[in-house]
Amino acid sequence: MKKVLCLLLIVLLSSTISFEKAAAVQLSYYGSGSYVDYAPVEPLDGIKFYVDYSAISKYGSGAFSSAFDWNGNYSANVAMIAQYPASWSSYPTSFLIQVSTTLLNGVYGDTYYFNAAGTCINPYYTFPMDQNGLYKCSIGLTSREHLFWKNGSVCSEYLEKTIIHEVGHVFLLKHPANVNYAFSVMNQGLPNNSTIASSVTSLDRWNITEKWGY
Amino acid sequence: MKRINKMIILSSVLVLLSIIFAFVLSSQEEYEVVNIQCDRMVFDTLSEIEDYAVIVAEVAAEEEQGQEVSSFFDYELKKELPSGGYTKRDMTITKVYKGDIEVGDKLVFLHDYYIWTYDDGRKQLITLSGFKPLQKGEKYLVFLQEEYKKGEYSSAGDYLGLYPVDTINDYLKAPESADFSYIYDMYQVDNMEKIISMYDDVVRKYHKD
Repeated sequence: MKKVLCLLLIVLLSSTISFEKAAAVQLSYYGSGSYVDYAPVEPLDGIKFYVDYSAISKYGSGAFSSAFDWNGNYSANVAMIAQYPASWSSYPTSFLIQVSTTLLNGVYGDTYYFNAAGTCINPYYTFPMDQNGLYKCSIGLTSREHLFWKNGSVCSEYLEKTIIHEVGHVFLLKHPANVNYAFSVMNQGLPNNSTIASSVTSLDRWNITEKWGY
Repeated sequence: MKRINKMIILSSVLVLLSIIFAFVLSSQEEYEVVNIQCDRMVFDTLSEIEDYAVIVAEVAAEEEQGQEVSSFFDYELKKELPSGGYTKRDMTITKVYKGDIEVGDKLVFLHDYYIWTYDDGRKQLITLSGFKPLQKGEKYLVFLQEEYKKGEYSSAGDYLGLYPVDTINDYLKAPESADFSYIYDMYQVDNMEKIISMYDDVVRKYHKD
């Protein structure tokens, strides 16, 4: 009887572990890529951003500190956010955050990845987050502030969600493949109460630690 | 004299052929495609896109009319880097389902891809869009949103707001063999379920008899 119970316990534990592993695989959305060793800024050293005049004049300075939302009890972090009126030339290695006047309607923000030669990375059929050779990123925000409106004015929750989302891409997180099951700030769109979070969730942090370690 | 004339004619033909060959080659040039990650408005159902779109129509794609590109000067790399852009293309309305337009009207379609040329002459096609550049002469069912300039529009929901008529017809006949090659492969991996679900609804409502 004891042997049977032990066996049942082992089977139960194994299937639980398999289920959790399968669930974990389904809910992982970090890229397999990396920044080069000589990248001046990268997640484990602390990402540094510079927010330029276009972004500050459009949206003010308050929202950008939301990027620090990614920080937690793990190594990868946002180390600094310099802002206009400081000059970007004083922080030349920082990743730029700016307003992009060519983003079409319906696009809240985007993230570019460059190698050390300043070439955009992302060979066809792959994601840039799966590429090695990443050197720097830049983030663009829409110039159409009405996309962030709630009751006629810019809603900070909406704006901050986009900022945090794009910074997540700098950490090499992708959009979750299974959008129906992942409550994540990395899902596209404005926050809702079911799948699109307005800030970093526990699942997002799990992905950060899976990617970059503790 | 006759021999010289023959030489002149032969040289002219060779030069002309070279020019034609170079033109044909350049128009068929394949660029490395770079897909930019973005956060965009999403739609879960066809009715959401229909409600949001200001125009729902069948259109014939025409010529590209140039592009708008933005860039920034990177202080560390000391060069201009791309930061965004889009390509303009004329479209002619061939059927109207919604909107203040008529068959035969022209509009300008903005598609968020552009060609970036580096200092060394290399080119990349940089795109935020999940669907490839439209083909001139092809017909598409489109759900359009307004852009800044009057008369300019873009697809609501990106690839969820655009359906090649040929693919709709293929899907109607045999869903499993419909050609989705107009969408970049990475979107097939991520969002095929949503695309198929939309096709089911689009075919039911808009298919050609």
